[in-house]
Amino acid sequence: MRGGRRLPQSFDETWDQPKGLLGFFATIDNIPIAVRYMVTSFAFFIIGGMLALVMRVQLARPEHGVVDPQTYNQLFTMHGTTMMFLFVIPFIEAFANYLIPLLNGTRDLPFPRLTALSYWTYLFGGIFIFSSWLFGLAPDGGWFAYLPLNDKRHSPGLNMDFWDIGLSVAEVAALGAAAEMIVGILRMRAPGMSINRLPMFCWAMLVTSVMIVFAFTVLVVGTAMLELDRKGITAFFVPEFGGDPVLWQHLFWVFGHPEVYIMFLPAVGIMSHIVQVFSRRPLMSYTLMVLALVATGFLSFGLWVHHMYTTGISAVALGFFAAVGAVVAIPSGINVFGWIATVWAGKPVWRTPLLFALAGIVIFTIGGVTGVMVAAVPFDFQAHDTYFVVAHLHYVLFGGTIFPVFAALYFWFPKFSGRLLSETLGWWSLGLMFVGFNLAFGPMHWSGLEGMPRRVYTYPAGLGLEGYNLASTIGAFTLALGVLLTLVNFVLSLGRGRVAGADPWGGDSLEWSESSPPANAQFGSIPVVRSRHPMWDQTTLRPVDDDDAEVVRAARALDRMPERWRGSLIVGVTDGRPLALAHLPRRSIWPFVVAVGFLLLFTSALLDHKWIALAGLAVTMVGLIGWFLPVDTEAVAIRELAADRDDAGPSRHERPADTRDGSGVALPLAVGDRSANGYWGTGVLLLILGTASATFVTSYFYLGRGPSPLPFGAEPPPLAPAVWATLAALVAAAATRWLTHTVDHRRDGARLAALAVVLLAQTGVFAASLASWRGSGLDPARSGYASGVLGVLGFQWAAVIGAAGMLVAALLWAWLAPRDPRGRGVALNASLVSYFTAGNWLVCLAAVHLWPRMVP
Amino acid sequence: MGGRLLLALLGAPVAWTVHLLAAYVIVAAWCAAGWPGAGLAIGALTVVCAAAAVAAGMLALRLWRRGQARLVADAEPGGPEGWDARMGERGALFVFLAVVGLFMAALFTYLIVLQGVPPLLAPVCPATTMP
Repeated sequence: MRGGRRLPQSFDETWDQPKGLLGFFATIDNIPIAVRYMVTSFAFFIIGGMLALVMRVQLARPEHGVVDPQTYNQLFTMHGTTMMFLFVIPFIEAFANYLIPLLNGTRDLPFPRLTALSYWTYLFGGIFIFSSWLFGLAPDGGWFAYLPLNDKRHSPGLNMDFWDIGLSVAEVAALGAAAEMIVGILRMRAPGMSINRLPMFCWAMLVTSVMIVFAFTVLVVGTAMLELDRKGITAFFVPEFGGDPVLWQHLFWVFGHPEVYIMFLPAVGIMSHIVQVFSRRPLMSYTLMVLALVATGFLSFGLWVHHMYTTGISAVALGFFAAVGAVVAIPSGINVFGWIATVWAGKPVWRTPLLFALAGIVIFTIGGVTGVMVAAVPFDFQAHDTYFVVAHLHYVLFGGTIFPVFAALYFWFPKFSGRLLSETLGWWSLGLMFVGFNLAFGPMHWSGLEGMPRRVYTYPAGLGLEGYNLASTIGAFTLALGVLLTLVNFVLSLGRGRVAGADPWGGDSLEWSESSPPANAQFGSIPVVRSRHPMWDQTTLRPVDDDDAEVVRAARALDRMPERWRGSLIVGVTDGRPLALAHLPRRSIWPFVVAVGFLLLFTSALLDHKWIALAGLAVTMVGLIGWFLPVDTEAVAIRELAADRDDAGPSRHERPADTRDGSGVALPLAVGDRSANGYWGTGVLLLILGTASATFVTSYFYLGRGPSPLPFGAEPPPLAPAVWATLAALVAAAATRWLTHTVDHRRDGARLAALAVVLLAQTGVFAASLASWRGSGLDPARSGYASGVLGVLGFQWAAVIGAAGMLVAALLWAWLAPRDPRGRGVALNASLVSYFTAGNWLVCLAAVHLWPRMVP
Repeated sequence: MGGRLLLALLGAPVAWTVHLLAAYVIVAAWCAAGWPGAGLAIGALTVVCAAAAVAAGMLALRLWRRGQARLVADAEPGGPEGWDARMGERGALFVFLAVVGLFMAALFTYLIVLQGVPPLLAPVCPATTMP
């Protein structure tokens, strides 16, 4: 949405919402997108719950015939998939989209268009997966898609293709949201909000987002490998060709176990807020609670083998992972004791949000204890694949996610809607959910220990399982009734709930200083933070006389300003010192267009349809080009602040203008150098790319483990083209260094030349490595080894193509608008990816070409 | 300063990551190749990684002490001027991050040592793997 349109003239007009049908698709503001996100994911929660109820009806009696085995397989697969990928993660992202800017005291997230893209891709991905029911092709191979059950030979239908491809869409959305959160939390906060004053939910989302970057990237790579196998292109997981189905389990659970904590950690943040507000005192040991978050983030990546004790891994290796499984109880214990101590030491006010939170703590603790039990290898051998594990995981997920999410809804619903929820209905809902949950999942511990296996559509009479199962079914319906009451509560309160006002609970954090619901231009005057609990400890959020000159300056620069473009503050990562202003785009239809393109591309991947693929590619390209065209409000921002930019000197480091009195100096605009949000976002992209590369390389070595990486009689790809590719990569790296030099020293003419050399060298890397593969004569469809090679090299090609796209964009900027700082920014971002692809080629060289020749 | 703080914060968990992955690879690759001394290799690895984690903890301790001193300086009237004293409470910031680093070091050193135990209890490369 740009072009010859009239620019906004006032602060309110700058921050208004686009209207009409087109405006509906063009809005990129965090609040409307977050509300859509929440409604969509809650709808998926209801659907996922209904699938579970059908399963419970089937299991209410032995040898019941409500559904046939095939339908039952679809039910449990879709129940898990829906709850994990279409409800919990998106719902938490929706929450964070809404709350992080409010908690941080800033106006929006750093990449509003990415927020919109994440939502649309997620919505389309969800519809895509669920459309499979229309064709009777719902996924039926388990939410973990174990192999060889789910390879093409044993699951020939399109069912698991729906799962695999639809999931990729949800993964893209999650990665986009993670990049957004990391940069937003680290860089966009109120002045004075140093990292030791960061609200707990922001800490939780920061750790969670970093975990998403590592975990979801592995899943993206894993599902891509699975789909390539299912298309018959590769043989990563096919044992007769030297592939290995257990590799899939490793990849899936390297994602899957952190996933549990990705769902739990945001709940830690939520519960910490609720517990301290309703206990009327600060959280006990903020420091230890933060430590627990960060430690859990690390430990969760050392637990994946936890799910694979029975796959034949050696006892000593299992011992390592059992140790991690025991130790992860320590940070979780710190969290639980921190909450209990806070309630204990405070003057608790027993309102619904606190009660939901406490119910969650009780349930989570039980799930945690059974978790330590199954972390013990011998016990797990007994309990594996029984209902004991079903009970354990539901206790963890309900206690660690669902109850906290309900607590959060009761807590923040007044902020979202301006209306209070009914306490009476809330108590009834909580009571029914708590009793129903325990009745549904408590007996499963016993039915599991008696040997009832998971994922089987029925059980014979006379084994003593009838009572447990009937109780579970009754409990499940009681639980559903409790959820229904909360839904009724939402609807009633939206119409006739008591008006909440800005701060119904006496909260401590910044969101309670804004109106309920918040204005679209939230924080018209930015708050100044001097405490961890600004709403409790500070008499005013405005700057005061003895505040630092930099704070006064930042507050003035953002007091219902800038008027003609959307501006927000960028602060130092640890100290919360105001550094610069960021320009935020106002509205854009392009995220929606790109999401439609993605949908077409994924549909074509499902159907192997050439024309749909071409249409999808065209739509995606059009969308991306529209996205990256210059935004006119940004040009205004650059012009307005041009006088304040020190464009002559190097910009290697962020240097806030050093004026103690703050008079007459505006904040610089973060564009075209290393202070820009885009540069930090590209940094997150590098983490994603690095993780993806590491996954492919590890898979390659995994498939080649044993005395020799090569199967008998196979030859590694020829070395001569690889030498050329290495030379090209070195040239590319050197030229990239030159490129960053031209940016830093404002040599805009030389930048064009440097970009041309980098692009040429990268093309050389691409061509030579392709030639090396072509010359190898390897057949990935019939060799796990060749698949591993193709994975490593194929990723390199994809990365180089992406880098080339960025370089071309930078080249166009350097050619058409050489003095525009945005062009320098694009060049800097491209330089990061260019360094990565050059370095990644050296990894390819070592893995694919040198290693097999070194190890005979 | 930033680099040392980061080292104090994340040194121990990184040492643990290295320990877990390397120990796992040693068990898988060492045994598959039929090389001797896998147990010794894991023992050496444990000592090195635990030492690295302890070193990160020591660094955190030093930064913590320094932060404490700054806290005192900040509290004095007319202390360090400008941004740090009044708004950012640089001392408090360091103390916070250093304490987190200290606890991280303790937790992950314990875990590294714990992961060093299994090779003492069972043969690292048994004749046959478990079922």
